[in-house]
Amino acid sequence: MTPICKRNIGISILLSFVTFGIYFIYWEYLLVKNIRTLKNDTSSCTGEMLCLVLVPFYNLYWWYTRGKFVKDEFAANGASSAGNEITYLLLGIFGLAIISMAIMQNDFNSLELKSASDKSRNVVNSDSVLSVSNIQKSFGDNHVLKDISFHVNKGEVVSVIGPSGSGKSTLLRCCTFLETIDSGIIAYDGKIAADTVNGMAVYSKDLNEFRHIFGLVFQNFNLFPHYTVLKNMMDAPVSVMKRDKDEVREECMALLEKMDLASKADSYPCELSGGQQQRVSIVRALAMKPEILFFDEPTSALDPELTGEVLKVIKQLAAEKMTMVIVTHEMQFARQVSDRVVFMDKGIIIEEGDPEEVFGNTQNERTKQFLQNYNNQ
Amino acid sequence: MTLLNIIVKMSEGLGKTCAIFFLTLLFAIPLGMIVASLRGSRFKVISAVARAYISILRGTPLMLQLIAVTYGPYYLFGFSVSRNKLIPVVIAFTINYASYFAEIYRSGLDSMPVGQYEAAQVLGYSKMQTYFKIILPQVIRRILPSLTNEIVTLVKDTSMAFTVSYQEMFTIGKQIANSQTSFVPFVVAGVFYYVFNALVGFVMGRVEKRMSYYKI
Ligand SMILES: Nc1ncnc2c1ncn2[C@@H]1O[C@H](COP(=O)(O)OP(=O)(O)OP(=O)(O)O)[C@@H](O)[C@H]1O
Ligand SMILES: [Mg+2]
Repeated sequence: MTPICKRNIGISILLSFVTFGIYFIYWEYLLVKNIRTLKNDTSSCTGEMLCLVLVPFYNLYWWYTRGKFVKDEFAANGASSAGNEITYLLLGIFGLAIISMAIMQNDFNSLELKSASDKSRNVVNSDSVLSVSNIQKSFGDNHVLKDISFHVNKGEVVSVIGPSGSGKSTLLRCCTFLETIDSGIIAYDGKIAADTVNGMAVYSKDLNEFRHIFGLVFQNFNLFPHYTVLKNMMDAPVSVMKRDKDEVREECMALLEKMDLASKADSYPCELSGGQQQRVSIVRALAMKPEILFFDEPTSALDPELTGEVLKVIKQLAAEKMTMVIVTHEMQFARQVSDRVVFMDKGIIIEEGDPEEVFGNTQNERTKQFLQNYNNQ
Repeated sequence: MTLLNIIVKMSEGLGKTCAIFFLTLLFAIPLGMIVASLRGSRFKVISAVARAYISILRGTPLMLQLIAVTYGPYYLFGFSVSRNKLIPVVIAFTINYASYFAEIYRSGLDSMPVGQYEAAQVLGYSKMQTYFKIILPQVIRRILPSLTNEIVTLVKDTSMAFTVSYQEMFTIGKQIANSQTSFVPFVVAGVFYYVFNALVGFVMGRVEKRMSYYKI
């Protein structure tokens, strides 16, 4: 290897440090500006892609330039040294910048909650499965959640009702980390997942641990269309929780049996009716053995005659003392199934209490009006 | 020169045609994915660079890019033009096709409902798992038709390599045509490309069929 070659490698390494440094500073800057959040950058997997694919490319080119240019022309023809150096420089900048970026992107995807403050610990109700306090969330100027606090105890079924746009879905999405809160505290089983430090929300580093505590059933099912029903259920326990495949299969089959879906185990979601799809998405969530299950309007994407089968499943779960939070527009159902009803409007919890109280004889004007509107429809 | 002679002679270049074709596919598809994901990067600078890359490579003729990649290093840095032109040709084809593949791939990514990401996230899938288990298979299924289109075009575009006198099938054909003042080599080339594309169409059709076991 010629000395110049060594120098080039040196330059590349140096540049990698510089680019790494620049990105590091950039990220710190974002932190200071409070731009860096847990935002799930879903549309691109830049980091992973690059690590996997670009590095071999980069090595290939490196090898090629070294083998071809350096040995033949470059060594014989000193005049082209500038060109060669530039090639290495550019490669160094490009390749290493990208690789370092990939690393950074992975590491800094969430802000780290080192340890929750004592103040926060006191606020959290350690007996509750879910404990939410003083959550604030804005989309731009739209202040969607204004100081929401509530908790859900083990075995409790809580219904959340309220007019359209009142922030019910946003609340569930914040609890399930699909949206980041601006400030407030979210705790599961007394362990703090999101806390507020200096007026800014910070999330625990082990969010995936928390994700195993809850399940979410979406309005539009969101089943994986390329997997069979059984694979939809089994994949997460097997590949995320690393559980034994046969054991999971047995459990899942038992669940399907219970839900009257066993005959559909090998069907694809597109071959099922809406009601069946929603039931599958419920059992998919159950397969992860969550402690608490969130439902966001589980029946509103369904034809009226299909809602019954889904509601029946939820009632069955309620009878089994599954802890659940249900956002719904089915007032009759909410009244029957829930232990507690939360009425939300314009980002505030207006009223919270026993379903008979809230539906039967509420003293609150706003609630009265909402239920009246609802009954008139 | 008899027809048989012409065919045999041109077939000798077929290996090189196939080399361009397969190597370009091999490199351009992953590179396209990278460019597409860079384009969607949250870093403004990187996404701007990726955008510029796509716009330039799609906005200039492949022929020009071939010439630039093959002879550019000589004019810019004084490297002598290497005798084996396969590498510059494949590089030119790869960077060109990567820009097309990037756009196709991005359209596929954009068409994915955000609910798929969210469902995976709530179930605890890592970003890697989400990408490779949930998103990529569905994206591939979605983009397969447009990918087939692009691959068919690639087969025909391999003939562009004659601009840098790379001895693939069409270049040889053109040389024969010139020396014999005959039109026959072009007809032979046409048949070759047609058969090649029929093959591509058949294979891609099979793949598409295999992947369409579910409705989107
Ligand atoms: N991703 C987003 N970006 C910007 N604004 C949003 C976003 N998601 C929700 N909003 C806004 O937040 C407000 C509350 O929306 P949300 O979906 O939580 O209401 P909701 O109570 O679930 O209503 P519905 O009963 O119709 O489902 C709305 O004004 C909505 O426009
Ligand atoms: Mg909603």
